[in-house]
Amino acid sequence: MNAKFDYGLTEVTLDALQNGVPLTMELTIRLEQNRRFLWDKEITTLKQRYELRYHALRRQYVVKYLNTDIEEFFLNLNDALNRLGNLTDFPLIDKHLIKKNRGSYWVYMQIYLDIESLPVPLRPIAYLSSQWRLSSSWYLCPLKP
Amino acid sequence: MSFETVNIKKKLTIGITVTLFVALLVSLLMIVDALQNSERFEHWYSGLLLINGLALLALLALIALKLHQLFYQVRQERAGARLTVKLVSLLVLLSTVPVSVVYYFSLGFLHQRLDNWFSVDIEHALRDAFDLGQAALETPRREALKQTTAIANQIAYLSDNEVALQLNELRRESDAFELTLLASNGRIIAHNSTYIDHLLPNLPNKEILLQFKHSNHYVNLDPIANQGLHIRIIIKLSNTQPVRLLQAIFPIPAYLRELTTNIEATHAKYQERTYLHGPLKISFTLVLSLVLFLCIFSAVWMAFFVARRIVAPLSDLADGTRAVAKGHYEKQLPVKRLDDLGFFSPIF
Repeated sequence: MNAKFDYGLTEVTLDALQNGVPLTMELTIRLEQNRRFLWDKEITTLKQRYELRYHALRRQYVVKYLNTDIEEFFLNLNDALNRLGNLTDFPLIDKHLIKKNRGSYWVYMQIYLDIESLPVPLRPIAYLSSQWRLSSSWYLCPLKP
Repeated sequence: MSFETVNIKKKLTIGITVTLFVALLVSLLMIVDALQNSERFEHWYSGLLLINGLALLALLALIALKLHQLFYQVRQERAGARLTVKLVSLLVLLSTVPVSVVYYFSLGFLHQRLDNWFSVDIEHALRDAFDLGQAALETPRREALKQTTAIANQIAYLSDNEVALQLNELRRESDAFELTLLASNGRIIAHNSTYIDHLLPNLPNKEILLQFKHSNHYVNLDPIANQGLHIRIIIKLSNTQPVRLLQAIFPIPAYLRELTTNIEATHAKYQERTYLHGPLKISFTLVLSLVLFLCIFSAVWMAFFVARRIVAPLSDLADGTRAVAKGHYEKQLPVKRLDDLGFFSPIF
């Protein structure tokens, strides 16, 4: 599966990032089967977590894939965000687990900034500020088997 | 209801109330611990704050209820109601004023002391330490550049296949642990590494490759695949077409690598803490205010109970007097206490 996200980080979050606060994003992907006579059945849910951090001394942005502990380095914030925003060849599910004519399959995606991963003193402020509560709405796309 | 069940009910209520207060106190302690940057209660912080906030609102609601009850009794001119009001006001004043004074002073200490603790000089010192580390690595870098330039000169006029054959030998003769021949777009032409199980070569990213539009070489300390800092050197081969790049990766002495990594980590942490200075003050003020209000509300609520217990024998006495005045001589007064107020009841 390929997907592209556009990160609209607010001024407040950018300020925190430049000062060394790591931002953790969580991407939730849910695959549901739309059945004609029953409610939608959830087939699988995947969560991917990414951490974006700024290294002040080396002036680099580090993207860490928290699921695999792999780190990537960027000199430019836009490049780091582009990398975070591009999901390529993501293994969604095994082909044989999807039955062709049993209804349509839909992929739901949502990404949000995880406030619970922020340092403790920031959390109450983040919960109360709309500039910190960043999340996308649920994006929907059909799955073609 | 018999005397026994009333007693049990009272003891139960007291028991539950005390447990609740202890629980709230414990949760406040956990919140403070979470703010001390420890790992123990970190995950519960937001939840605990919410619970305490709700407990505060619940207490406020209970107090409002009791107040409403009291004023209703005063309006009904129940015996002892006015005395209860006076006693409650006195108790509230006695408990609220000292606590508020302590709160005010604590807040002052909080806001002043934190300001003195965080000085900018530490950040500069860490930056200087980092620069010092970079300077210490100047000699190894120059040496690495010299070796890589020598190799580049050797392979400049060789074809891609010839380079691939010689790469292993060239690497072994140098101190590099990895040699890669790249096209200008980053595509690998030939690759050789000390670690045979290193399947993925460490490729330079787009920004580094873009630099070669105007410059001929790249010398830097880069972190390599979870193994810490290494010296990465890329030289543009002085051949005509197509443009080729030679990348060599050299290790740096382990102790220097460790020192540099430590300085970087500490600097990052320090900068983060400095930024959190403001939010930390707000958090501490928030928790202190929570403690203040919980104490005051608890004291006020308990004042109602204490006042009632003190006034109860007097109001019973007054009720009994009124009953006698109206002609009901059979009224019995519960003789519960042997103190000053209970003294009157048996005489009655």
